[in-house]
Amino acid sequence: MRRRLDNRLLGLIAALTTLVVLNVAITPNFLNMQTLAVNASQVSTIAIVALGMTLVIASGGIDLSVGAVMAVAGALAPILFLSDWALANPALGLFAAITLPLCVAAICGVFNGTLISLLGVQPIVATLIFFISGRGIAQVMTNGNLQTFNNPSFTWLGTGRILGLPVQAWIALVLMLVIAWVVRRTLYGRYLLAIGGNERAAALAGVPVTRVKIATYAISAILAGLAGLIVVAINSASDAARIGQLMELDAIAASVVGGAALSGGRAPILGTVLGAVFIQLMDYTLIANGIPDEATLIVTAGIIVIAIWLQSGRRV
Amino acid sequence: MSNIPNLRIRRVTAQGHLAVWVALAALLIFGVLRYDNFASSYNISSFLGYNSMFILISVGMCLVIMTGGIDLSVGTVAALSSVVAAFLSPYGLIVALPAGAATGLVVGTINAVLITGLRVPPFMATLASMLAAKGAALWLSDSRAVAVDWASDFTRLGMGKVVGLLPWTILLALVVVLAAWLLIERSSLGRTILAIGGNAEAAHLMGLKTRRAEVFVYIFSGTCAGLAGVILASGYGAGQPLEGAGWELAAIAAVVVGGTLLTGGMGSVPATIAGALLFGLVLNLLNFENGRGTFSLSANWQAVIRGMFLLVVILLQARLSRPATKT
Repeated sequence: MRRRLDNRLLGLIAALTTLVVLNVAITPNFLNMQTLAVNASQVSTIAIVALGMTLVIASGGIDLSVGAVMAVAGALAPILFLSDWALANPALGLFAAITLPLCVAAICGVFNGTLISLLGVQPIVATLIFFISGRGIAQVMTNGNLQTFNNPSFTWLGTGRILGLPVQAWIALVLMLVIAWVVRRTLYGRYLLAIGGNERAAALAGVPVTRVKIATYAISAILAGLAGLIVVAINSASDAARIGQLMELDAIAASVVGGAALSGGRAPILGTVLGAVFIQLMDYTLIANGIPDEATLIVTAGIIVIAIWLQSGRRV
Repeated sequence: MSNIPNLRIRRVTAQGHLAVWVALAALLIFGVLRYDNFASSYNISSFLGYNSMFILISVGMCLVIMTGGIDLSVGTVAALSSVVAAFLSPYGLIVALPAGAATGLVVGTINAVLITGLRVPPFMATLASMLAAKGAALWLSDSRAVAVDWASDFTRLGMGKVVGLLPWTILLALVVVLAAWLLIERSSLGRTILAIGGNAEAAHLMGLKTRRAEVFVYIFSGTCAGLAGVILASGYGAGQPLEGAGWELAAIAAVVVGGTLLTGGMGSVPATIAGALLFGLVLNLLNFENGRGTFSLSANWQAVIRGMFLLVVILLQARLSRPATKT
């Protein structure tokens, strides 16, 4: 088990290294801080969402609602800090604009988890509900309008730099470390992998399946909400129709390329982040070398298939 | 084969079916009583014409889901096929229609090879082909809508009507639905499809040709999506590379509402169609309600209401089918 996991990670690292070397050779201005910062800021939101997705996939489920949850959180934040009350109390307003959207996201996640674990609805169907309606809710909240704003302390979340790297890249890094620790060292992590490995056996062994699953979907939703806030902060604008669009696909792809198995039972946290980096770098390579956007979709599709095929080949 | 498992399948799905037919009837009666022009020939024909695309992709999705699989690529395949059909529209329907269907067939074949040959899980395989088809559609069309040739007979399919009432597209969709229905109910291939979803391992060990059936459903679903794309181009006068986003989920929702479980092994073609019509009807009624002007729900509400609708049906289903589906 451990051995195979390492192999997979090594394969991914080798692929990443090849890509970096290739870029150094062919892409102009690849090795400078600006390129690094641009890529890091793009990949962080995907990585943050993908971390939650990996936990959900490890439990044997899937979460299609992450993009919609991003839209809800991202639409709510500007409404809060642009309200009269928040303008009167900037500090409190900022606090509310960050915590409340995350709480709402958590509620969405608990809703998903409840449908799945208590009512036995399949994860695809249960999260499909928010996938369909979540973005609509966000658009209803904003009346379909684009919200623009100028709030330096909030936009710091998306445009600030610490030691030359974007703030959100640090957030993603910290989250990666925390979640890796949680998966490896806490009871919750053990329970999660046990459920993904064999849910019935886990339940019979006394694992609180319902609670663990609800918590997992809540974590995924909170991370998606955070990513939504970051996207809004990057743009200094919030467009409910566009925040987090297709994010569920990017996140699933990053998890799977990182070594997660859709059947559950595996939570490769470092792999997930590297998977997100790999997909982003691949896109960047193609775009920086003048290959049209559309081709990147086809290449991403190819990468997903190859990643899965390699996995399934080794499992036999 | 003993017919005992057959009887069980019928009993369980009969309960799931009931909900969707009752809901459909209730909404229809509500619409007829409340809105003057609801039962007008114009509304009926435009409703059926628009929804024929969703009926097609839903019936393809239904067969895939019966095997316990899923096809996420249908929306972008329809978009790709609409672009292909629009490019070929100067040669007339006789060329553009088969070419659009063939586009879907090719993607469906790729899905089938990935899933049955390379053993990639259906969710990921069709996710990949969804991205690839979208990329191909954007590439071919240069990310712009492709105008069809109005001089040829291509737009007759999407805009023409039989005896001035029923759109050709709904007839096309009904033929496909009928074929799929007969296939599931009467043929050994149909039995095999249901058997795979029930228990793939057991079906294979019984000597059923499971791989052939799996290959068939993905090719069928791809072809249905290809036909939907032709209708899209023909009915709206352009190949639309950006259309089709979320269609796969609408189709999945229709199948689920029709009482088919995503785990496969059971399900009904007619109930799936009822599910697809139900979703279309909700939107149609909303438009009428807006037209009355008593209160106005923006387009943004449509998604919310569809989601709530799906939630209600799923909750009903969870109650109805729970005892019977515990495995």
